Amino acid sequence: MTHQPFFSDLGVGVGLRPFYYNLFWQRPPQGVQWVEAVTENYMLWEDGGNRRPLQNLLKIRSHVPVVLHGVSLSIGSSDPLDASYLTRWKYLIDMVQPEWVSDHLSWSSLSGEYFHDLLPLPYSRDVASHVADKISRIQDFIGRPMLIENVSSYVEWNAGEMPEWEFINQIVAKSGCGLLLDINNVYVNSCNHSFDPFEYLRALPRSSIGQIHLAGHSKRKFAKGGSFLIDTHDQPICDEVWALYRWACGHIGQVSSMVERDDNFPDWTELQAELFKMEQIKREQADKNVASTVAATI
Amino acid sequence: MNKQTKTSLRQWQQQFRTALTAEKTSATPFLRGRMGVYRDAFFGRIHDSLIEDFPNLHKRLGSAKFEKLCRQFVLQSPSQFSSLAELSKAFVPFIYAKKWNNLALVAELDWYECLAFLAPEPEVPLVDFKTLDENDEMALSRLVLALHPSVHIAHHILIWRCGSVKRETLQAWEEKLLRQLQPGISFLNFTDWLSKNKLKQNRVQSFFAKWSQLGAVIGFERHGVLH
Repeated sequence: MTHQPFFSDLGVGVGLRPFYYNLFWQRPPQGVQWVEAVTENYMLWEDGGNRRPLQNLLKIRSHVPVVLHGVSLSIGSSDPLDASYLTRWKYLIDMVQPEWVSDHLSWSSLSGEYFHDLLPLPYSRDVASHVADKISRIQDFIGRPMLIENVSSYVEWNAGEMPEWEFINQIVAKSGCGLLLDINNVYVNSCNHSFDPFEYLRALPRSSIGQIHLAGHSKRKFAKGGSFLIDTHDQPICDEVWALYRWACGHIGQVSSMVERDDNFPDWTELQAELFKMEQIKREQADKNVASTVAATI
Repeated sequence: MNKQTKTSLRQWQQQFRTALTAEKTSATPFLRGRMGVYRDAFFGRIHDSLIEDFPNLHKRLGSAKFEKLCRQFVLQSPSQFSSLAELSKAFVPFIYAKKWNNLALVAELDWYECLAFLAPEPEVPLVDFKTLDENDEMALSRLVLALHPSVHIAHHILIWRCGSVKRETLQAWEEKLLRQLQPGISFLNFTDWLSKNKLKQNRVQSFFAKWSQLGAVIGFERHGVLH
């Protein structure tokens, strides 16, 4: 079955984290137009436990749009799909009625063992087919299209046959899913694996991009020399990522965008300032695009 | 995906898992880059989650021993759960299996605090247990008592969530009494149990009053109607 991806522009949002719950009970704080909730934090456990988080999410859902973002679907695993996970996820989707759902282009489990991390895949044609087939079956099961997110990585497989963006393109084309573009991850990977991030962004299928993530990262230096960027979500968004976002808004058009922060939580006003900046960039780029369209018409 | 590729992907992922869970850094000829970042994150993420869920155990053991215990747990009891929070429930049996009963008890109480925090809001209103005195014998026989859904009883300690998570020490007989209430026991069986255990009714009523005021006992069913 083909699911036509369509993901409306919700404006700017933020990752919903318990640290900031108190700001969301009555209404979203100024500047927040939607929130993204981590799927596994709200899914019922296999024994039926974990009901309070779902109650909390439903309360927040009553006054702000919610999208669900998973970390453990393990789309790229060579294991079969996890029926228990899918069933509990579907129940959550039915309860919350999110605007859309997403997960990562990675693997996180093998032989039923979970690693609680987003592990990289070899960028090969066969693996792309394998992942696309899984996504298609998942979309059939949940009855809606989903988004997949590009992940940050610290290793490359010798078995790789193509650049990351081509791998993504093949999967999106074969499965009909949408793309959750994490611009921080593009930047982190461009530094770690030495490629041009603009070439990456230019190569992506623009019409399939349904959501954008921005976040901060950390730099780790190694004793034997060299350094790597780590996708820690514990720092403010850096200037280079803002620059890529500005360019992407002009290139892609208006897409729901959000800030992820998962550690070293700052005062809310700091995150809010990033949201305001994000909204301003979106607006400026939208105005520019309108102006250039008008100029081309006359 | 054809069989050849499936085998290859599985083999690659098995090699990756071996490198990920290795105690020491070893060569990874199938990869270029920094495998150590994944190895550190794999242990670090589970370790941080367990510290959050087991703060008293962490305090009791100290950081170094707690970290060692976490590493043993990760390697000897690989996660079967898609959520880190759910993984924590396997930590208590892991410690009991080591026969470290005192530490396991601390871990169990920490875990019950987590469960109390994650339990749903009760769907029954808070009640005044004074009306229990007015029941006749027939009515009492149909009485079913209910605990707050977040209540957990372990080793003379009652943990539940009422506002914030609370922890109260129990007298031994109170613990037995509350354990009788756990499955939603009818009052007829309950009074039988009381008589066998020679507990005085007035003490039981004051007991109900105390725990209902604190929010741990939240209701009772009489004549099929929830009060």
